[in-house]
Amino acid sequence: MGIIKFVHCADIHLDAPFREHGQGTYGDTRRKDIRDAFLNILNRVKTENAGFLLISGDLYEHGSVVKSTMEWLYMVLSEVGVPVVIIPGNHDPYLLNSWYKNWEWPSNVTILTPDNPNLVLENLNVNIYGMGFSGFKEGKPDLSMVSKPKEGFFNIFMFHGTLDMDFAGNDYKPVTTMELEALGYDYYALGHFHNIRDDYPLRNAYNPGSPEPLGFDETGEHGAILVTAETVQGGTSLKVEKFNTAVRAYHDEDLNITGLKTLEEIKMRVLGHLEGFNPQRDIIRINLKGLTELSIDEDMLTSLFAENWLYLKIRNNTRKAYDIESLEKDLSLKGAFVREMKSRIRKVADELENNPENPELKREEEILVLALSYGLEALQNGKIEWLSE
Amino acid sequence: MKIKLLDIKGFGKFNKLKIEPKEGFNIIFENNESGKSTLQAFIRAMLYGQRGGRRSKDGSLPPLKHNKPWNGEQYAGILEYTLENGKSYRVGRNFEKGTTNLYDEGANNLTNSFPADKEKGPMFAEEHLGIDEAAFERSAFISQLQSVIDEEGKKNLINKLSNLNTTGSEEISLTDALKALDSTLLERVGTKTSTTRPLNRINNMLSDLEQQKAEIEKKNNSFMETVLDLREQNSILNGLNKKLEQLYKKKDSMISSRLLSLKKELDGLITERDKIEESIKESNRNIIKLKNYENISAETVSEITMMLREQQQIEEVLRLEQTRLTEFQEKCDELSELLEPEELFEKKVREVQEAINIYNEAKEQAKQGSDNAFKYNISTAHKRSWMPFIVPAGLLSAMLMLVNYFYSQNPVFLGISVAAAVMTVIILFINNIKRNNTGVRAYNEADELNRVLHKAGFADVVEYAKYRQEQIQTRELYESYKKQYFNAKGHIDNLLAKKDRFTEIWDSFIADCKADCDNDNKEEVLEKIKEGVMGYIKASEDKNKLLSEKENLNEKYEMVLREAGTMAGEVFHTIDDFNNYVNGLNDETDPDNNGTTLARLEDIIKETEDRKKNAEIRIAAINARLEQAPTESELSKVLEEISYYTEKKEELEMKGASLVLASQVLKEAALKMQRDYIPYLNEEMSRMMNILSGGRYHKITTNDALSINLEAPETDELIPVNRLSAGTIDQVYFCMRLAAVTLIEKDRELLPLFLDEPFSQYDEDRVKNAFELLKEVSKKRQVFFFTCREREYEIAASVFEDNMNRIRLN
Repeated sequence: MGIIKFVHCADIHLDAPFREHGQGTYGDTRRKDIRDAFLNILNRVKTENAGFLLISGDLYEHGSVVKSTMEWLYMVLSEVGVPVVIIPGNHDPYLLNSWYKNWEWPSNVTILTPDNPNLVLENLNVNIYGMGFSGFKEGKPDLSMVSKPKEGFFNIFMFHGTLDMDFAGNDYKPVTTMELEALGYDYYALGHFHNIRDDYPLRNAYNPGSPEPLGFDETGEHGAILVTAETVQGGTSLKVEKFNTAVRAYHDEDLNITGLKTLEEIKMRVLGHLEGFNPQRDIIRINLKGLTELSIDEDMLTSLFAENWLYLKIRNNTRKAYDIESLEKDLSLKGAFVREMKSRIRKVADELENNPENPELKREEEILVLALSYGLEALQNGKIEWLSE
Repeated sequence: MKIKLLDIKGFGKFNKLKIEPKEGFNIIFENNESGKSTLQAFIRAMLYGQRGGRRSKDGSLPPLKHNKPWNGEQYAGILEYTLENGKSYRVGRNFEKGTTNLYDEGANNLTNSFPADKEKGPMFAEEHLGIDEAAFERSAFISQLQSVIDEEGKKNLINKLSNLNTTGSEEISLTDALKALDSTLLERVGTKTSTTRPLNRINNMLSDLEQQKAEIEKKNNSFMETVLDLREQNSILNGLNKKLEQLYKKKDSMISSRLLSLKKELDGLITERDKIEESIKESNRNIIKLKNYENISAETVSEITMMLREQQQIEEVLRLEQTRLTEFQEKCDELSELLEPEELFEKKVREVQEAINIYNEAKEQAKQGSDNAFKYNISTAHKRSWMPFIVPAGLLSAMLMLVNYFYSQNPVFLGISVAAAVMTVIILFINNIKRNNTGVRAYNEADELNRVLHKAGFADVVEYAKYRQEQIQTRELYESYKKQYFNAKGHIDNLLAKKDRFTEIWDSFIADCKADCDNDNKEEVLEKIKEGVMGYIKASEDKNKLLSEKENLNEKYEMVLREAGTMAGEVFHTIDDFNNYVNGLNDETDPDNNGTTLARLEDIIKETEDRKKNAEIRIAAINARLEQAPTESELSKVLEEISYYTEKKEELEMKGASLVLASQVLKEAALKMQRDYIPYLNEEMSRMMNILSGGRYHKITTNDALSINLEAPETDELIPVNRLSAGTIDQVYFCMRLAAVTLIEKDRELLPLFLDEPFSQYDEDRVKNAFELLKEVSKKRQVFFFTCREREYEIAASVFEDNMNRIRLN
């Protein structure tokens, strides 16, 4: 078999919309960042003389990708000069009206679909089987239909879905390590999760994550994987090297301002926190936390710093500095209100302990905490200070 | 809790002041500005500490700074107190240093056994009293009331009562709080019923964006359908291109076949043309042989032939005419002998005829006379008339001349015939006239007539008539023959002239023919010439026919070459060009084309090319449509906007939900609090009000709307508190404050009461009643009564007697 070198990437999400609302043409800039990150991968394929490139799903956003992007994609993929193997993901499923089905792709590109799931690169001794999405949501896949590894070949199983996650109600092809392992492939080229996963119990399964981070829940490094497979005595040795391709980095920073007495102090604290970040590279969200008596207008505060940044947002998540413990003992309505609210908050907090990711519970907790603050403010001041709409 | 010692080292205006309050009623009767408020502040500061920091928003100093000793000395104090459980404590604070020490009665320092506030130090009071500073101040301190004289004051008092009644604190208004929450919800968030609030605006915006999104998605779907269409059309075009390629190949093959076929055809034509050219040469040779006859036409020969025949006829006629000429000469000679000389005949006839005419005139005139005589004369006249002979003779002569004319075609005969006929008619006419003119004179003239007749040698008129008839007829006959003679002679002359002309023509003809004229037999000569001329004509016609055939072949040849050129798409100037082209063709010919003709194939190709062109036009149109496809991700931008506003909406909805929840929980808490505490509060208030009003009002109730009512003693009617007098409201308020304290204390430490001029609006009776109430209250709890009024002090002294402890601040 010799040495096989290839690049594995996934979740490019060309033309994806961005939730965060940045300045001016933020969305366009970020979409260009995605292209640049993808170009970084293609350059690496060239410089490493990789034999082929694997894209494990979500190459583009089905709903929002535009023709000019597909034309660009055609150009860059045809220029890469090696076979490119793609499986559709849940964001770019193999639908009747998909670009996969209707667009003219370069001759070096192979899209593995339910009708055509297999590709053999005879010259490289590589056998690739792909299992992607044909709809936006798909339940547990039927792995029995996966063909057996080809003897004497390096066998790769491309898969877009979730490995070893909660199966209940999972719409994104949930599979287990045991199920994949039973297939007996040499390399499992996974995709779906945007952060790199190289710690699966299945030792030869890798999820490279998105080459460019796409949101504040995607902090850290982002890139692709360079795989070098070599036949050694009694099996195949895999050398997996991660490489960074991201153009920008997300930073979701919490900043506790409890004890700060003035807005000036808060500004200085924010300024100090921003030191070390690159305004043109880093996308920053600062969450002010803690207790304060100060009235903080987050939009005003953001506008003070955001000018030179591609994206900077300061969010006021502070709470009024009420002495809740004392207030709980208050015998007036204030105390009764606090006690009732605290009781409800505790109840939700208990439920959250058992189900920490439940968004409804999280929201309920937020509403309760905010209601407590509003109620106390209304009782104490007879009015509610409102700084932003 | 009972305060045992207040040792002020330095605090505000106080400096080294030591006070030892009694357990029951303590009265601080001092003038204004003597430090009553400072003492209350000192007690609060000793128990709960003091907050420092900056000035507050209204510009007032924080307590730590506000209460700094005026003389600048030690800022400290000591307070000793005993709890209901009998345990005593001593707290010492140095406000300047911020130190606090708490000792129990065993001098154990308990300072660190309590949670500490960074500014205010250990929080022992919260634990010992069970309430924080705010609650302590709110409940234990009943400050100087506002003036209740005016309506505003009354309203404030009612509000305080209401607040106390609903929230347990006169400073906290449930109504205001709910109003704040509701108005914030309405103005800052929005509700289902509002239309212009932030949430409504965001919803409208989202609705617009969703619509935009739907439109873009529709456009994108349409675009993808266009891509599909393009793919389909490209597939059709590819199919057509392949088909065309096959058709072109087939066409080339068929053209090759056809060109080969044309080549064969051309070769055949060339062979045929060669043969014709050979025949043309043969014809030329024949023509040269008969060249003498080249100027003689078949018509000329025919004319000459006709002329020879006519010439023969002329010879015949000449012979006949010569015979007739002789006959006519003889006849004329015979007749001239029979005729009287002309002058004599004319004289006789003139004289007789004149006599006859005269007679006839007379006879006509005598017509009416005697018929007999007349008849006689007539019969006599008739007997001498020539008329019965003259008329038939004239007619006969005319007919003869006419016959002669028809035979000879000589107009002279025709003229004579006509003249004879006319003459006969004239004679007849004249005769008739003569007869008619015979009249009365007839008888006279008859004699004259007879005389003339006799003179002329005639016996009667009949004889005369006979003579005259014979003479005339003979003369006419003579003239006729003479005329025929001249006619025949003229005819002969004509024939001879014609004969001469024929001879000239013949000679000329022979000369033209360049023929051998040795032979006198013109017919033979002519026959020979005729053969020569016909031979020449035939040879010429044959040559022309061959030339025509050659021309046709050439045209056909050119046509085939042109057709070949058209097929090959080239211009073949010569057969060699064509042959070279055909020789260069590959061997792929299609002799078997299943009956498809090249024309049919070209029709198919044309049809396929048309379809290809249509497909290309459609593809161009689709490409044009695709060119208009959005180059920027409109949908991404709209999705981003939707995402942004959805987040804002969620945030607003969360705030709205929080406001609603806060309002709801507040109401629930207020209701619960009222359910739990109001009955007790009312009971306590009723009991106190009974004392305070001297038994007038003994029942206070609170309805579901949380309004306070007093039962009127006169009518047992419930009177809302706002309908009471300001003084009574003040009393109700005082009762409620005291009741509230007891409520707050429930299951907790009894709090000392700090009353600061609470009865300033009371009359003396009410003051006395109020002190009676305080007397009862002070049995269990420590009371500090601050006043500057002598009246209060004296009434208190009269009520409390020896149980009153006066504290002096100087």
